[in-house]
Amino acid sequence: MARDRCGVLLVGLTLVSMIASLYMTFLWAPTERTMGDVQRIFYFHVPSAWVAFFAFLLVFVFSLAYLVRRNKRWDNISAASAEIGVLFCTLVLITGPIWAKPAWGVWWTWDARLTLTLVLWLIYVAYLMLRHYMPDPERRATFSAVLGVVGFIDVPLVYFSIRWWRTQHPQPVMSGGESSGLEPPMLATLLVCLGTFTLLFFALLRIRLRLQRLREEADEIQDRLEQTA
Amino acid sequence: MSDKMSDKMPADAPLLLARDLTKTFGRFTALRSLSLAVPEGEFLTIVGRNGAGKTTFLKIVSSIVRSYTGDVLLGGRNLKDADEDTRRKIGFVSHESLLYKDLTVRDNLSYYARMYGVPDRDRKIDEMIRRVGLDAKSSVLVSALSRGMKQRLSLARAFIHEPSVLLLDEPFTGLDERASGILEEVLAEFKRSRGTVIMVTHDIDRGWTHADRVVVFERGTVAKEISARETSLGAFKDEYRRILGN
Amino acid sequence: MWRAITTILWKDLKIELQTKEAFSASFVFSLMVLVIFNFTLDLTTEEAMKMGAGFLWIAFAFGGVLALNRSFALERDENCVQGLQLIPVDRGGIYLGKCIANTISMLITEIILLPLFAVFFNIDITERLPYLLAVLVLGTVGFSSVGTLISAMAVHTRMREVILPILLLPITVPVLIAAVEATAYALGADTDPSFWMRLLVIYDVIFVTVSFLTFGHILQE
Repeated sequence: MARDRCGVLLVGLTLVSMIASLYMTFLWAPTERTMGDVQRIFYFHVPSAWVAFFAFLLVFVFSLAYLVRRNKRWDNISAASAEIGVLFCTLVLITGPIWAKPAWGVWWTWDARLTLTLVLWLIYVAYLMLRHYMPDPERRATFSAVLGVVGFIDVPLVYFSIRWWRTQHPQPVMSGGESSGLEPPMLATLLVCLGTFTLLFFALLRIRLRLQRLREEADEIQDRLEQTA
Repeated sequence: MSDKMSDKMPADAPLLLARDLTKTFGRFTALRSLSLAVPEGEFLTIVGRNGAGKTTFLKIVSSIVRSYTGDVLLGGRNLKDADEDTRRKIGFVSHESLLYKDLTVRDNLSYYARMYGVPDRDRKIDEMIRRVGLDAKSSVLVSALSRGMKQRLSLARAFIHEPSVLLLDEPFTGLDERASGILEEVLAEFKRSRGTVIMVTHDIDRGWTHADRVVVFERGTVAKEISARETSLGAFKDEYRRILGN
Repeated sequence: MWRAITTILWKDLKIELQTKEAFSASFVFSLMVLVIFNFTLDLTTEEAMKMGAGFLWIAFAFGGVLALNRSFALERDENCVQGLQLIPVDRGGIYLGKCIANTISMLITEIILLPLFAVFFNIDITERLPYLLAVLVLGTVGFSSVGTLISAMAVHTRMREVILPILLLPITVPVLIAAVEATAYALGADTDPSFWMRLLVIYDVIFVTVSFLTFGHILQE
């Protein structure tokens, strides 16, 4: 444990950053005029969305890389990114309604951004399910890689189709974050939170990859033992 | 244990050359750094217990499996790139018939003949149907065929494109008298015309009949190589039993 | 390549003509979906007209899943997939052949379903019929493009065909939205479908290409 200097540093940084974010979010940032304190959830809601998207971008990049050259580590990174991406995506979907209800009176509106997040969640949960139901590691890696590429290419299409659909059938309630018209302290808080969540992502990624490596090592040792027996 | 590459190899390059083949399925290693050379025109029989890697080897040589470490060269071309011309040379027979039960006898052969680019297709198909004794059934759906008939049709399917390299995976398993007879005929003919054959089998007697060389796979490598022409079947069986006993 | 496409298409259509399994399953299922909507929703005529396009495509989507499943299920018997792996043809050609076969199969179901839909929901489908047919084709191609690829994957998983809709439906959200909006226009709505038609074309081109390029990875071991 102590040997993983880099990892410990990363976790430490994340912790410090998280403390700063918590302070800024709850104590330092000014209260929003119309929505009140509930608006503070925005500082967690929006960065979660960006990090989820970044995670899925990584899935795409490493899936593509795996299809070009079959490096198992790249498959591991894709899988880990997908898991963490789904995690942050879930956070967006949970914080969304929690914010929406007190702020606008409804739990859910089929608002463009939230709907996009929901569809993304479905795509990548399906990705994880595919992995779960494929026992052969090589085949699993190949199939996941193809799905990882296909799924991400779909994202802009999903975004445009939902956005245009929403403008054709506008909803009375406007949800989602207002990133325009942000006062400087709010912007600062948002950026700090974004930084924190990004660090958190990399920390989780590192831990998850380490776990995978340990699992593989354990399997190898077990195999060797079984053979000499 | 370690393979013994025969010193009596022909001077020209072998038709099939497998180098350091390693294939894993997750945690199970099917082939361990296996190397094997097969000269053109040789009839090679591969024996060994279940899980020794025989079928995996055959699947790699047939270009069905393409993810492995090591190289396999067929006629000088790497099978990982397996271009169409190379694949066209390969014929594959297994206990699965690879036939579509909702197509007729003729349509099944037509499908494969088209895919392999067989010239003078209709004549070839008629010839094949006659050869395996299915003339009366050529417009019958495969689902309505008896087991023996299906087996014969499967043989026809495998040979319709006149492969020069024949790969067989336990081909005699469950074959009836008539189908076995046809297969034996075809193998003998193949040998006469200097085609290359690699047969995986559990049936040592049948495997010995036409073989030039017999190779024993054990735990993913070549455990033993025997020239069938210089050894007696009995002596080989003793040796084989000894290897399996370990 | 052309040989691969036409031969696969010929084979799949011939098998389907023989068994009619994909057609009957998807047609009956799609029909059931439409009927169930009527039971569960008990709509007035105006409501039915407004939502008709949506119901139609839900029916098509679920029926389509059945048709797509059949496409590779028939290769599972006697390990015919191995036959596909052996034959010396371009993998992309096999994909295109299957994709076209699936598209035709789904279109046949849809076209037969249309008049029934018109009757059940009291909707005039002839008003902008060419447009309606165009949407049908573009939407079905979109569905089938990714569907064929994913169906090939699904066959090799432990959950077999059950995982196909789970993987496919989220990815085809753009197709479903666009097809429904464009169909609404074709059925008489006062909207502008040009964006949706463009989106369908773009989706089709992108995903046929991507699936064509990656299909080899799915087929090969």
